[in-house]
Amino acid sequence: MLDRREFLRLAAISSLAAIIPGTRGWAFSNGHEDTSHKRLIVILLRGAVDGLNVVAPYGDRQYYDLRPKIGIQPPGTNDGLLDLDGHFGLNPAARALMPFWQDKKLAFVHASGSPDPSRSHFQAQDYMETGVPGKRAVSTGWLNRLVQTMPAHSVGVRAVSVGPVLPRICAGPASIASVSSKVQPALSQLDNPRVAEVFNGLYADKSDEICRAYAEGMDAHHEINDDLTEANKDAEQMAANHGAPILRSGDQYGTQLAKLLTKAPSMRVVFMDFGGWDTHVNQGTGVGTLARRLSPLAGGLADLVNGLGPAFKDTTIVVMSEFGRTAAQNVNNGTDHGHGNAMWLLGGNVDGGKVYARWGGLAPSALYEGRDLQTTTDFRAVLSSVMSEHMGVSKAALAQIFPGFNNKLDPFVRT
Amino acid sequence: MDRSFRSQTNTYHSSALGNLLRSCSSIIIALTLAFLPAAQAANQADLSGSQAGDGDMKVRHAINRLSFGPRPGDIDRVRSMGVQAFINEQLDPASIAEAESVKQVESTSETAKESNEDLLRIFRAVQSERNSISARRARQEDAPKPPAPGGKAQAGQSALAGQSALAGALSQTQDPMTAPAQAVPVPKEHPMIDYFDRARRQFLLAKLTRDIESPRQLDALMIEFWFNHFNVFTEKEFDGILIGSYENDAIRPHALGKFKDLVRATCFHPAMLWYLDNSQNKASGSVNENYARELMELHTLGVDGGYSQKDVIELARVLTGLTIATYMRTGGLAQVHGLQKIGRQGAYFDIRQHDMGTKTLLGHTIVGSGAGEIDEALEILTRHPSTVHHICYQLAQYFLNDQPPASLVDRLAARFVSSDGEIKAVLRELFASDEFWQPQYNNSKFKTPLRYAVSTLRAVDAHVQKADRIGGFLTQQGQRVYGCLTPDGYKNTKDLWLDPDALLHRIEFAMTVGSGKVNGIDMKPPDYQQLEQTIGLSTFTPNTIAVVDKAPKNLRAAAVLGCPEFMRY
Repeated sequence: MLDRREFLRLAAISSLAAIIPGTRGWAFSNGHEDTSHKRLIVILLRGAVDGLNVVAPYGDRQYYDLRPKIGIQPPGTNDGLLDLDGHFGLNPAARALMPFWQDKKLAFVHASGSPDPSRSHFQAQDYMETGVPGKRAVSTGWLNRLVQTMPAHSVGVRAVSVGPVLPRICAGPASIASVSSKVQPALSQLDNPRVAEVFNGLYADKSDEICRAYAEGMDAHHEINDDLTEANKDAEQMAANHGAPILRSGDQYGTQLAKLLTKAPSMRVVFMDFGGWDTHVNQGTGVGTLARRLSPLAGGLADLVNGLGPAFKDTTIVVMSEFGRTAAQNVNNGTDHGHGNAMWLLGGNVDGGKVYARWGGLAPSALYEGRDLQTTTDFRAVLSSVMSEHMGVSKAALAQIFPGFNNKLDPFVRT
Repeated sequence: MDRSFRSQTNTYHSSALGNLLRSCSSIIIALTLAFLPAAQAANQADLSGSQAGDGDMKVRHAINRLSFGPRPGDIDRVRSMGVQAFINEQLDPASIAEAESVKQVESTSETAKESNEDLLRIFRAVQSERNSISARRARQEDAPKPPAPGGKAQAGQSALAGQSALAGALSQTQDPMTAPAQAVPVPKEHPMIDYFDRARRQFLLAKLTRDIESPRQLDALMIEFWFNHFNVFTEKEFDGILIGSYENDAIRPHALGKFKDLVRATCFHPAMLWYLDNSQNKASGSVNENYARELMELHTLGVDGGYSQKDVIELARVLTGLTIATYMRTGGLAQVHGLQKIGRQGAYFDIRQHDMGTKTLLGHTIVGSGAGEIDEALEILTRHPSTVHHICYQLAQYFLNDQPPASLVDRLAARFVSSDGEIKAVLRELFASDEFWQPQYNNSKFKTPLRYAVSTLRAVDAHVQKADRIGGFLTQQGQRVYGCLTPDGYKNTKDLWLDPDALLHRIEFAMTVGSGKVNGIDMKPPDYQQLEQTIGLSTFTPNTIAVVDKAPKNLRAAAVLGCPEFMRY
């Protein structure tokens, strides 16, 4: 494969080439050199994961009344919850996370989410991705607005989205590269300089957004390939996900992502998403449909944390979902669309070992519209705290990232 | 603009050559029109606008929007018959002879020979057989002795050779314990075990062959549109085996027909009832509102359509008891006996599971009466003004622009109402509108992965023998055929599909097609100048033409197929 420096040299001397190392067609730069190495990894679980069965309030009697078939047995029983703090327990399928809980690097913010009442997956995901719940015409994603506040590197890709299609949360003028979910070097015919010369010429008109996308892709392709080639030199087996966003046991996403990030210190923002959480039917308990997805999710997170090694102390991983599910099970031993959910925070800087929540309990009068967990903490409050305290994002920048959000409540309380 | 084919013939008659051919049948006239350029110029003067260039642009625009993309000769054909005649032709698919290759692939469908009830039974049987094979293998690996009693018979295999696929499947489900244990070291797989996989490959091949090779292109585009609109996901158990019937029986007959017939047909198809869990929507306990929600949010009124959570629940109550025929492992029609059959696609109504109370849906009262309530509810939904606007908006977006002009959507909505929701009438209005022909929309819309793949293969006049390679490309691009997990289906807007990484993969695909060697595709190595003519020379910028001309010879075809202009249509 062509050495990157050689490619750039050839590109520069070709009269048809228009690629200049490091710059992007529309990258925002405020001129400051970036000195921080803090990282944010956002994982969106699409389909409304059942937070009440991930972090289950076994200390609330109603939990078992509402969920006779899918309530997970209390800690200490066979297949029971893993105790977290005497009131909440973790779904045993997520046991890979327990070491981090014990190390106080893992926390949950329960009864959190969007203030918007929508129970439409698409609308609620949209709102969680644009970061302006309730407002329809927002075309950029909040992660993109975050990247816009970060100084552009002279070399290196700042932000990466894993998956074949760039999602709304990454949409916007700041460049976010998309990496195939295989997260391995892709040999491309465009590595052949004669081929590249032709297509560089065809895609030269930078006033055309398709041409800019091409340039972006070529830059990211070469940088990521260089980094991944380094990372995979020991020829370890790479289990490809074949583009499917549904987690199965044996998925290696955590290991692959850790390798990529280790070799690419410039990458500061990562987005991933997984589907398959919409458990209307036969949800199961610590085993079953939900558990089968939770287990590789948790395992992958553990792989990621372990793979990051010392870099973990500068990393925060946030896991969230567009809304939660009904407090009561339905007649098909599943749950329907709900409201409040639990956000997961896993990171070197997290004040972990705690389930934060303004917890109202599960009595009928405490439920949102009599059916769902309330949302007593706005997801933007959690994200704002992470961004300001972990990544040093200023108040002014936060106002751009979450316009119109003025909530001053501390998300990290326990009531 | 609105010249019918007949009036063109009359004009032709008045020319010098018209005298000669006046006595011929209209069919011969139709054929010879294509070969008489002098007559064409006279006919085209009114259609093509003030400059010849405009006429060319209109021809290309019509082909680009009413088909998946031009094949060699399409531009000449449409120019000679006239854009209006082409539009009329495409709006009447029955008038177009289907391609032999399409008919041939469709005739190979095994699933088309079975009822959907039997397909569910086959599905269960294959599942069960697969499970027992795995179990058998596991046992054989553990201990080298004959399989324990209870394993499926090997002796049965030869007896099945002469039977129909279904009979074979049935005999398996009915006789789990009758065969004696056999000392066979490696169990031979039942011929049925591949039934499911064969069916899915056939569905994929049939769809891609139709999109690439059928002359009924507008029909193919509408089948694609409606499948996305009423999306089901092939990986959701039974849906995988029902896709063929869903597309051919529920969608295809109504693709240009009445919208309410489409809603009804998808509502009463087991693929939809299974996908959105209505087969489990029962009055006892809490209802399952999944299908009711998407029926309002996605299929009819739209997200902003003005319905409430209460309306969702009420609609779900109306739909209780609407289910499919499922077979328990011990086999049998027990599930089906006593249920009222609805339609002919395997939907059933179980009145014992139906909520017989009174419902209030969008302000209308529906008295509890049984299955008839569903028709009442569908009537309410399909007549709702939000539904009209929602569908017309989506059609205008699909055929014209990601953000369609409101003036156009409003006029389409009026036509929708005046035609009782006839899609053909709405499309006729769309293609006759001033907005449709505005130059800003020429080659302006970004191709979805499906359209990019199909337009590329049409441009090189490809014939599909095996669809796996193309299917794999579409999966990699994020548009796996029949593989959209979520009920909203695949969008067709640029903001979803324009992605740097995916763009590079499209260029790689263009390189493969440009080489003339695509796995499973029958084609000649393309000539780049013929490609430019096929697509329309004025599609390309001077820069592209220059870069292509200067490119190494073996890369020129790929350059044409992979250039920015061909990423749009």
